[in-house]
Amino acid sequence: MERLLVALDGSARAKHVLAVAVDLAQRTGAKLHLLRAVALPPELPAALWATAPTDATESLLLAGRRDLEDLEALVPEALRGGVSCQVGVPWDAICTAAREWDVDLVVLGSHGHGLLDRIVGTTAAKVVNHVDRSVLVVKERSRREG
Amino acid sequence: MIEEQGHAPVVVLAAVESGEGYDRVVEAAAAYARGQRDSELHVLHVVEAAPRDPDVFDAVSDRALAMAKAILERASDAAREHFHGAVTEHLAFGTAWQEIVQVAGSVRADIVVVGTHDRTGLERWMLGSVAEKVAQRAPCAVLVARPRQEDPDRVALRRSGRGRAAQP
Repeated sequence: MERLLVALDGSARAKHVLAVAVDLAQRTGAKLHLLRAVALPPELPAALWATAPTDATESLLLAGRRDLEDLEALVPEALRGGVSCQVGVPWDAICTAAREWDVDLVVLGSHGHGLLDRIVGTTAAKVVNHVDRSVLVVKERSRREG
Repeated sequence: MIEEQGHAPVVVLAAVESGEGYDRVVEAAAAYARGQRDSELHVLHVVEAAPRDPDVFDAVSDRALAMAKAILERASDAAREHFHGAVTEHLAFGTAWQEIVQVAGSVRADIVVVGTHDRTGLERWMLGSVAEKVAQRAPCAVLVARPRQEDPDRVALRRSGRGRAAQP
C-alpha cells in the first residue's frame, strides 16, 4: 500500500481513527493523506452570505485546516502525505478525494447510533457504498475495552 | 483493536462470498492477521436464506449446502496458505449482514473483513449493500476489501501531471 486517505472530522474520535491509520501505515510503509470536509450548515444566515460569503467559507476552512495540521503533528514525519480541508458534503468529498489522490485505502470512523444516523445513514455507510476503494471503518472503541 | 489488548489474540473474521471476491477478502484478512503479534483468523460463509424461516434448514437443499461447504473450504485453504496461525471455519444460514454481525460478536472479532457481496441497481439502492450494513452494525472495525478499479481517464490525467491528483 502506498497511500492511505484518512478522513477526520472535528470529533474527539478523530485521534483514535488517526492512531489506527498511523499503525497501519507504519506496517505497510504507506503515506497518510489527511482530509477534513467542512459541510456548510444549511441554516447559515442568509445575511452572512450576503455580506461576506467568501470570508465565512474561508474562516471555516482555515479553522478546519488548523485542526488538521494539529492532528498531522501526531503523525511521524516519514508517514505524512499532506493535509487537505475542503468545503463539501463529507461522504462525497471523501469519495472524490479517494479517486483523485488514487489512494489504496480509505480509513474513517463510524458514527454512533444516533437518531439522525439511523435516518440518513452515516458518512461511513455512504462511503462504503460509493467509493471504489477498500475502506477501513474504525469503531469508536474496541469491544474488548468495553 | 490496535492498542495494547493485554495478551488476548487479535481476532480477525473474514466473511467470504460465493463469487470470485473471496480470495481478496481472505488475503486482506490474512495480511492483517499476520501483522499482529498474536492473532487468530476466522473464516465465515453465509448461506443466504429467508430470515426467521423455521424451516430454513430444510429449505437449504443438499446441493446448496454442498456448494456452501466447498466455498468455505476453498476460502479456508487459501487462508491457511497466507496465515499460519489458527484458522476456524464458520458456516451460517440467514441474511448475510445479520449473520456476519452476529458471528463477529460471538467470536469477539477485532476486525471483520468483507468483500462487496454487491447487489446491483435498484435492489442495492433500496436495501443497501451488505458491506454498508456490516460497517454500520458490526461491534468492531470493518475492512471492506475492494478491487482497485483504475479509471483510465484518471490514470491518463495522473500520468500527464494534470488535475489535482498528485497532491492533496
